[in-house]
Amino acid sequence: MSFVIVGLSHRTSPVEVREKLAFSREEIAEVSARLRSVAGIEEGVILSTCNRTEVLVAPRADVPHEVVVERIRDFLCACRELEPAELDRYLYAHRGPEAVRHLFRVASSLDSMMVGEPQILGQVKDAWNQAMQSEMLGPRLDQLLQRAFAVAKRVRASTQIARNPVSISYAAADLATRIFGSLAGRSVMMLGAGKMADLAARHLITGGVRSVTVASRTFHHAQELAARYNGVPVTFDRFLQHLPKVDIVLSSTTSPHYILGLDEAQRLMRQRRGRPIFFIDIAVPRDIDPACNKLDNLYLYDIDDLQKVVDTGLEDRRREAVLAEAIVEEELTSFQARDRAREASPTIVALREKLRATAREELRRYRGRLGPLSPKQEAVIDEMVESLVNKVLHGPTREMKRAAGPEAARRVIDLVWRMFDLEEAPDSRERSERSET
Amino acid sequence: MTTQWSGILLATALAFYLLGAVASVYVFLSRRKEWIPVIPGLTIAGFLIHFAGIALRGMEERAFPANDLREILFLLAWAAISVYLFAHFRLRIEIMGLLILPLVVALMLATLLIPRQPQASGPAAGLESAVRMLHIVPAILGISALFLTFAASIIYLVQEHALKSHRPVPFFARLPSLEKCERLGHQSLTWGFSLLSFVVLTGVISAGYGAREEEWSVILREKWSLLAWLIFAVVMYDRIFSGGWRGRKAAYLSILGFGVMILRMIGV
Repeated sequence: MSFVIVGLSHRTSPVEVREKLAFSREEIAEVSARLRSVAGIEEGVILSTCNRTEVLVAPRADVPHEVVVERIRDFLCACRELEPAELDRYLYAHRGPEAVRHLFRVASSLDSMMVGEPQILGQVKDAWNQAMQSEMLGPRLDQLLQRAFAVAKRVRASTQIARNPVSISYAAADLATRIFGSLAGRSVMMLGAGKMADLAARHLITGGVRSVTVASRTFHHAQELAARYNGVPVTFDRFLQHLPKVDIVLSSTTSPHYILGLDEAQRLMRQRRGRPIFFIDIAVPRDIDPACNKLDNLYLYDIDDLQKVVDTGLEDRRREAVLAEAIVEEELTSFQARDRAREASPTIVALREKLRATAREELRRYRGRLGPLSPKQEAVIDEMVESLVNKVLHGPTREMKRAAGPEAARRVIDLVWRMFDLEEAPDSRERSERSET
Repeated sequence: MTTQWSGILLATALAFYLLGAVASVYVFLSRRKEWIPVIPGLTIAGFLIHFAGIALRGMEERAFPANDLREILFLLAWAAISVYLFAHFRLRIEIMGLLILPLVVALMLATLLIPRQPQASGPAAGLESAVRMLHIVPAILGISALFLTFAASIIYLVQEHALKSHRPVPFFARLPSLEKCERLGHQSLTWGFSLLSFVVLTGVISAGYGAREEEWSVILREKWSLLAWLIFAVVMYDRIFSGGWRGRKAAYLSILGFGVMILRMIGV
């Protein structure tokens, strides 16, 4: 498992450093070409987002990982004309299984600033694509990245890591969908116009909300806002008359007292004949009497309630992240196992060839003494030889595949190599790679 | 004894449902989403065996297998499972398994407690049998529709409580929206109520036939189903005409009506 990752992220470096090492799409094509010329690196992928810049490489087997790490650091410095000493404080390096784990975690959004955010997987896919275009993607990294995509997909499918809203405006829109299901065809009324209300309205509109009514104490504000959302402005004193017709109310006026009291709300609910309504009160001081929440089919959330939803959402994400980490570990183990099986296979082939050749050779020597045999008897002897080879192979094959940990696997493979006097490896490069890792 | 084979099949089906119910509780508690497909998988296996069991029972008796309460409960459980599968695959309300499967298991276990009625009269024949079929088939269809109403009402209440209390509970996110529960509850109730109305009517007629033997218990039973019918009638009336009892109250009433009806079925 010969992989190395060198990079920096929001965990290790401030934005001033990250921005120096951020590469645009065009730049990546250019620096990839440069990466190719770095000695000892056969395959490489460059991932650059606003929160991280990482270089993932599959180095040549005869180059020690420490040397590879240094070369990548120098390469990064050269790209941006930085001093290595300046960068060393912020860079981290992962080697072998550590690198694989890191990549799995990054792709699954476990290493993101906002754990569970969905963009990172797309960014990793972009990096993979760009590496392919600049011909820096070989079979080893391709296999690894494909696996990382599958892990990310599995994490997303089997945990709720990305399920909960993490901002107040998004939480508001999310709650609305829990009441109304699809927001398509719903109508919203905005009372007053704050920045947060604006953001929440945008979320609702993306969700499919059909009509927007805007009421503001200053009518031209209402007109301005309504124009932006393709909505209808109404004068503030008439907002009560419009309430029976809307589904969601976004309230953010600067009024010092409640603009909707319990009595009015009761009357409103009678008029609505049980149709639910959702009040999002993000004004401070509050616009809507909190007692209204007691009424059936009326759902009222103030800014603190929304914040609470966001907080539990974040907590949930952290809890789900534990599940996700377990998935990553499981996948890492199975990736290592497959990697070991791949490493072992040339040895198994060599061993089988060797045993078979020996058996045939011996058979040829003794065959003459047996005298003439019928074709059926010949076949039986062939069968016996084959069966003997398989029986002898069984134990060593199993041990090579099963050996726990890459260290143990290598020891078993080397032992087999020596014990059976296997001289010419089917792929000598693969062999040296093994002893290098 | 020939009847044993259908019994074995039905018991096997019960075992599958039990496993399905356990799996849904496990998924609920552990939040392992990747395990969800196991639940309908087990249920479908049980469902097919269940069907074979009912069919075999029918062949053994050479009659529609609804001659005693046990058989009716087996039929009902089967109908409830088809409702669950519909909710799972068609409506994509995966949480339904958690509500319906344990109920089905309870129903089928209840059949073990009911003593096998000696079939003195044998399968009913002639006009009486026809009236009975007219009673039982729509009853089973109606009650299975009401299973959905019941489950939708419970989900509604859980979701509503979570929204009202401003405290998202675990699994909150995976529950269907209030609107979806409302719609499902209303649609299934419309079906269930219409069929139940028909059943109450035919029930009165067939009670007239059966009154000779066990007069009191039959009349008492019909009183219970009349009560269930009245409760559902209130919910229906309100949904159609005033709307004031939509939501929470309608959900509570639907659950109450369903409870009364099931108790009446088992014959408490």
